[in-house]
Amino acid sequence: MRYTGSDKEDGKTAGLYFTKGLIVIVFVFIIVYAISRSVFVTFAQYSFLEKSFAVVFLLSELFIMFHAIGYFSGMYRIGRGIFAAQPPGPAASAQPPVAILVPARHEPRDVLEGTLACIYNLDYPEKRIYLLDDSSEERYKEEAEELAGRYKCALFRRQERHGAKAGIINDCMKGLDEKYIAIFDVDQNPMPSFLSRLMPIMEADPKLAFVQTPQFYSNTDASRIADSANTQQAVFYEYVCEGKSSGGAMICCGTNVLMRREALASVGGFDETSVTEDFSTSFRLQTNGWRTLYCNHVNTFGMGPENLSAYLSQQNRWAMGNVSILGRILRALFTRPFAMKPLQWFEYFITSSYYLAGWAYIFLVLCPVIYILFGIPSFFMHPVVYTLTFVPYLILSVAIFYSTMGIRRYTPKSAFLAQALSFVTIPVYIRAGISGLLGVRGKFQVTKKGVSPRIPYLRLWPQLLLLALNYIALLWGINKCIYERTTAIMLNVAWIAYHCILFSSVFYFNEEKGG
Amino acid sequence: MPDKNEMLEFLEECLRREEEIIPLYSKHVKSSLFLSGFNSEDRAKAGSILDKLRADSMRHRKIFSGLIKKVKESGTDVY
Repeated sequence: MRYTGSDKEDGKTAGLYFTKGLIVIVFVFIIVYAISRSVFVTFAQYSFLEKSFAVVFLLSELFIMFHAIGYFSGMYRIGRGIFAAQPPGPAASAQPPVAILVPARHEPRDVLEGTLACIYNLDYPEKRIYLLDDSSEERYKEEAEELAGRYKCALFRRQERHGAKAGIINDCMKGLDEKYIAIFDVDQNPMPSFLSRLMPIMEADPKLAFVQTPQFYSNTDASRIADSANTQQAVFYEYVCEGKSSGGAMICCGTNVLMRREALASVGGFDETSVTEDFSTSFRLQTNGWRTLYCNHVNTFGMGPENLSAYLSQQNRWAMGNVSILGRILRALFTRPFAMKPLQWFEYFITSSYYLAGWAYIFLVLCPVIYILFGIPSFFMHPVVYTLTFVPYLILSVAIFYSTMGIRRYTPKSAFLAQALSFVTIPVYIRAGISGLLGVRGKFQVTKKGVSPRIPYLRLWPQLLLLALNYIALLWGINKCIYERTTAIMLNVAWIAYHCILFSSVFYFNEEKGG
Repeated sequence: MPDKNEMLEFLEECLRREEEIIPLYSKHVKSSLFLSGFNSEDRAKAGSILDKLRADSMRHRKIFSGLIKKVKESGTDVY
């Protein structure tokens, strides 16, 4: 079941076919380039050390290409949705009871109050609001009591803390009898029609476990981080989620979601063993035969992280949580291969391995530096083959990415800054990737609200070290260009210069706007 | 016919919505105007309409606050 743009949008059909055609061409170039690179690495006459570097570099490239295929295949599947955000369903005829859960712990009063006010104002009569207060400090407890009374919420508390957000939802769920559960983080403000628009979708399919809706940050003026984090969210919610949904593999994002209580209960509630309980629980639901869906219509406005510290902490949690599920997914693939369709397995593998991109990127960043500073090559390819395979793949990928973001009104500048922010996060992804793979259990940390002072630069030493290495290699590389001027040196210097620009953004993001 | 307490409850509800909801909604809608597809001139117009809505909301708050005060002070018990 999908919701797509109107068929009347015939004017956009040509653009749709053009984009789909470009995506097919990108696939062809990716495959040709991957084969060419593998052949060159296999047959190149280099030393063991050089070949070792080359293999690592190639594996990193293959990882990125695999994820590029995942991204573009999702975009190919969503088809007309590229040009039109999905409209919501018709107004609800049946209005079954919904329990609206708002888990909160030590949240700023004004943020909590705004969310409760918006939920109170939902135009759905059969709703019951539950404020799940997990605060341990008296001040926050008192505020929760006062606000619960003011907005007619049932206040839920528990004696023993376990499983953070997942735990308190599970505890509360034991006493619920409503057919549906809607979950909102404290910083997410739903619009009045949230439930009435989504209910027909849920009611139409008894095997549908949940309908996920996008997050949209409305505090983009607050800081550069919030603005770029919103663009990153847009890449995810505008295209990745639509692709996943069209492949029947949409994941729950933990907020702005309407869930069937029976489905959640059938898998034992939210998974309390993961810091990304939403992703882990989605996997459980889907391997148990439940369907999931994404409705790409902004029904809720929220707050993104407003400083680098909050952003990195959020990304660390997401990365650690998602990577930690990778093992489970692979185990389940071998033990229960028919629990999901191949496309669903592919999508879950893509999602859980995505944050390992930190490792891929670090090799792609360091290999040119090593080549320039120590003369150890890791990229073997004839310049003509490079020009005929890699250059078209790169240009087309970038062109499709920026043009499709443009269709959704995001400027090239904002898309570039979002990319730069991802680069600044590479050290976090690397560390979180290791922790996730080793099964280190992270602590669930609530994303801090508000613009706080910048992170001390001493704490950003991995980013600064990478930046310094790239600058040194850039200067040395320019010097080499003057005297040697080979294609290999010039290409590596160009990549290093690009990486310098991306890593320099650490200063841009760590400073307050206008500060 | 609502009695005095019901009337006060109703008015306080109205005041709460004016105080909490309107500024939030207008802030959120304003932040997403760039997605609307409007040109910059139309976006500026929409933005100024939202500002006007906020200003109107302030006026409504004053009216509701005045009404609440009046009902509280009044001897009338049925409205």
